[in-house]
Amino acid sequence: MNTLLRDLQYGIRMLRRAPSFAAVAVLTLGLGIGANTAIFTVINAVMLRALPVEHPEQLVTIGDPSRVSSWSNGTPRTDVFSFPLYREIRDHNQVFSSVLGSARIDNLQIAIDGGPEKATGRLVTGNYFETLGVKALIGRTFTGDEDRTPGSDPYLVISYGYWQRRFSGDPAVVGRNVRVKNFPFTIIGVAPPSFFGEVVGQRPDLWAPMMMEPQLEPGRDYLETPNTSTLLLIGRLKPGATIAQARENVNAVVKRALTETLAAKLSGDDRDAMQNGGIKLKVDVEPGAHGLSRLRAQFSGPLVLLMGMVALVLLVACVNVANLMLARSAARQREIAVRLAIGASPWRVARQLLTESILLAFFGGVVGLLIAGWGAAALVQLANRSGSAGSPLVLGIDWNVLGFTAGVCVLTGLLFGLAPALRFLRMNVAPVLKEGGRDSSGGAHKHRVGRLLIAAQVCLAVLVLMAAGLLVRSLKNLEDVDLGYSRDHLMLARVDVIASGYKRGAAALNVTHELLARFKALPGVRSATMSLNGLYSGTESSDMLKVEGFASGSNQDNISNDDEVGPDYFTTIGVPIVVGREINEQDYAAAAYVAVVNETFAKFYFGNRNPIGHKVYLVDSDHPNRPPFEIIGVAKDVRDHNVRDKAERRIYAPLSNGAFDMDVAPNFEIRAAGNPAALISEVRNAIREVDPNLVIDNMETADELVNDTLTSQVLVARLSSFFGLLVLALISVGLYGSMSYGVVGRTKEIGVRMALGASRFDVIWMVAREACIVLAVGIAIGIPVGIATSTAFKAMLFNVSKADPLSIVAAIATLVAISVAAAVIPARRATRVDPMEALRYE
Amino acid sequence: MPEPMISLRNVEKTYKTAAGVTYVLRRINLDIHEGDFLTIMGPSGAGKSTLLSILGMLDDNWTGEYFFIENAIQKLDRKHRADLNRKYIGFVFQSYHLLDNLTVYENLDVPLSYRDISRKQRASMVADILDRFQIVGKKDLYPNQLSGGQQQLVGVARAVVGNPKLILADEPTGNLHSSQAKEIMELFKRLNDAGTTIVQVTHSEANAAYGNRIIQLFDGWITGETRAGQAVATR
Repeated sequence: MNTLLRDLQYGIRMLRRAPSFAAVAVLTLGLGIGANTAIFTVINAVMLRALPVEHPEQLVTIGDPSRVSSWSNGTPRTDVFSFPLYREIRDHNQVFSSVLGSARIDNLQIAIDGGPEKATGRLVTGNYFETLGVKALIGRTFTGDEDRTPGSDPYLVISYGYWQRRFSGDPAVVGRNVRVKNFPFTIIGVAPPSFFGEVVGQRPDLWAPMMMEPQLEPGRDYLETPNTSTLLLIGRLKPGATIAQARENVNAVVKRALTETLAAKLSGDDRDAMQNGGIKLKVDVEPGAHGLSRLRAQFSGPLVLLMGMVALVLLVACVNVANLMLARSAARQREIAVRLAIGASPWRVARQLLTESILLAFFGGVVGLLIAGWGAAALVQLANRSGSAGSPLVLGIDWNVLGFTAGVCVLTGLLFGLAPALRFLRMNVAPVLKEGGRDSSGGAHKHRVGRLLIAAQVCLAVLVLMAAGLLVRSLKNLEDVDLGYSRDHLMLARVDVIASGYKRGAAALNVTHELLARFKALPGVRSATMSLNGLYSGTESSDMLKVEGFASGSNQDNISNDDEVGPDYFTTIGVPIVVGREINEQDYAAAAYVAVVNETFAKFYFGNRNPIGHKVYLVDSDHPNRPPFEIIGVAKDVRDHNVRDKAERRIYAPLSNGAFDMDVAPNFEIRAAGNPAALISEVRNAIREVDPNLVIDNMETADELVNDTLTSQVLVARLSSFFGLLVLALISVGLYGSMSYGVVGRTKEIGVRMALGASRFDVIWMVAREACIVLAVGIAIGIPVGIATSTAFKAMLFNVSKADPLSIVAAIATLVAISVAAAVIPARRATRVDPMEALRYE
Repeated sequence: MPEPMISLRNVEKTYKTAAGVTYVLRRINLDIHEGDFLTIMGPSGAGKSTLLSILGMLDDNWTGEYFFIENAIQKLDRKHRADLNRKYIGFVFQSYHLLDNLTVYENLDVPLSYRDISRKQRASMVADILDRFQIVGKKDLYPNQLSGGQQQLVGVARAVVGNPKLILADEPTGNLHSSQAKEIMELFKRLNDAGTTIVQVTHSEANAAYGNRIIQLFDGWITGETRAGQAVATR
């Protein structure tokens, strides 16, 4: 211990004696470690940190933990659950001490003192807090009794943050009456400060009992139907129960519920679908210590890629510092030789050198932590730029992050300290002592190691730059991809008429029509239409169809996506009709059974035949006599829900005929004559004029909506570009320093050459040639490795080859420019030295 | 006659160059007994410092046999040679080779820190040596705050702080003026009188006179040996 302390003391003294070296090394390492810690901080928050609840290791997720905001109306699902199915699992399993369910609440508005304010919250079952083992900070949480009678327990538990922010931490908040979505509730407790809920990436302001769903989602009573799936479940394992047992038991319970207990509530079509495999009965049951998260599914791939990139950045930084250490090693040669001569064992000297390296890395780590605090927040802000990625993550430095940073520091210290330490282990002491510490025998070796390190650095830089190039090119391709419609001048609004109190059917349709008429009349609006699924709305629907003249091979062949649209839908969003015509005002007014299909639909069902005039039947056992739809047009394919995915087959019918259930909020597509963003306030006012209580779900330009879907792509492209620049900066400093040092060491040689008649160009070329060889070696290794590693993130590439020539050429050109500059500047300086001065130089 | 402390048999050292093999030391046969004060003399390039390095086990690349206190050095690996060096040998260099970043006290503590000696005991040993060499007042100074003579005094103190049996000194007064050189040589003499074996390399006849044996090296060969009061021709 004493030895270690002495090594540390000596290390600190060495750094104080070489402040410039220490500053450059600490800053370089700080950037590398900071980038790593920043990405790890986000990975920790999204993927690693356990929920702040009691014994999180006992929790399991049931279903798909990424579907935190899902809402599905139709055939029963087993990735999200209906309340009746939840009840079956809760009451009939043998493996859980308790099971909680939670669901999103849309457009939550709370009135505390005056008018309504926006808030966020989740609907939770009465055993939510008990299952998680979370106790109220003040007041109480739900007791479980809240699950008995719908609408009878209008109580809220609020989060600590909301309590502080909105109620200034007033303890009298317990018992306070507020109105949520215009319904009276009473606040009964405040959750503890560390508790943010079960969804990573969300921080709800409040939790309301599931049984209050009819009051909070008016018009949509989900509590008794197995066809509306909105719940995600978390179970707490009984002592001794395993995940495998839980998986088996839950699957058995779900199968029995859907085929027996709840079967009577299902339609004939659903029962058929269950029989023929149209409903997935398999339920995923996985460890749930890390809670539920959509972010995890969306960002884990990009984050792992970014972690790989910053690891390369750190390696480049390590090589820089290793080169600096090698340059310094000449000055320390005598010291080490003396230590060896007076009795130090080689291992003892190596240990001291490594202690110094790790000390340097720890100082770098401290700087890195400061950089990481800022960097991680910036990263999340970048990911959240659209606001669609959820509420802020709980970031911050915890033991995971500190442990990671400490580990990185030690590893880093070993990495860049090892080369100089090993060099000293092989040192021949006698000549060094004899020559008074002048670098005699190690020079050639040191320069060889230095050149190898630079080649490695170039190789690493090629990897980072190629990856950045590929990702930036992919983003550009995604941004430029032909979506099949014209998104310029297009504005989209989504109004939830059912949540606003309008009954399904005529009432909802009438107010929708009134809104559309208002929008069309607004100045600056060229045209307007509407649809149920529309463009990038987040909702999708599909149904079973029977297409005239098509012999299906499987049930899957009979399923197609569909949409209900208003008149002139295709003209308004700018989709060309390739055959036939679109649904017009007359079709719409007559609620005609006509349909437009997309190219993929036409090709799948009709091949090269003309689909116009053919009939399509909607399979609906509840309405067996519904007339068929006559195909009147074929529209160009549209990437309407995802920029990356090719269009799937889709059939469009007039919204007015009500063939498909209008349960979701309608979307309005408004084509502006000018800037669509300028229309937003006009459209909002028009909605208010029709009914001030109408709930507006969303209002954005088409460009914004499309860009929202590219959030993770933008994140990786921007950050990889940033890390590419960082690597370039590091490599510039490293190359320049290394070349300068090399040239200074060759001043005498340069003097001799110049005295013998070498021109300045000869000298510059002598130095540049060496840089070119090192560069060529690094690039020659880097390109094939870069192509091979890009396989790891091919899922993030779009319309670009792994061996994209442009990305490779750009990476090489940038590195050549930087390397030549780094080599030529010190060489030019060396040629200005008077040869006689240089010859006297030692 | 007791067994010699050091016994070299046919020790040779060579360098391979493009032009062929260059001999630095040729068939060196030499015995050094405990209590000897041996001086190695010869012109530049004769191999004096190389021989000293081999004796101090700082040089690994040689052939022949080297016995040091009954240890066959040629059979030992680097670690065991370092162990022997640490236990029995102290070095004094012409250029002092004090560690610039350490104070006088710390310089004296360094060789002890490489031995298995407790902190308390080390402090006592350093305090003792500071006292013996009368440099207590300089203990917190750095080497660049000392004169050449003072630096070499510290260098000698560092060599003897671990109570070595053998001191190897490579031109210890080469960088000192005559009065400082005399002071250092008298110090060596006192150490030798107290029982420490000393081997020095020097060009100075005056310094050589402090010892009891002189060997002459020329082109790597031992060409002659003079004991106090007698001359022995070896080649």
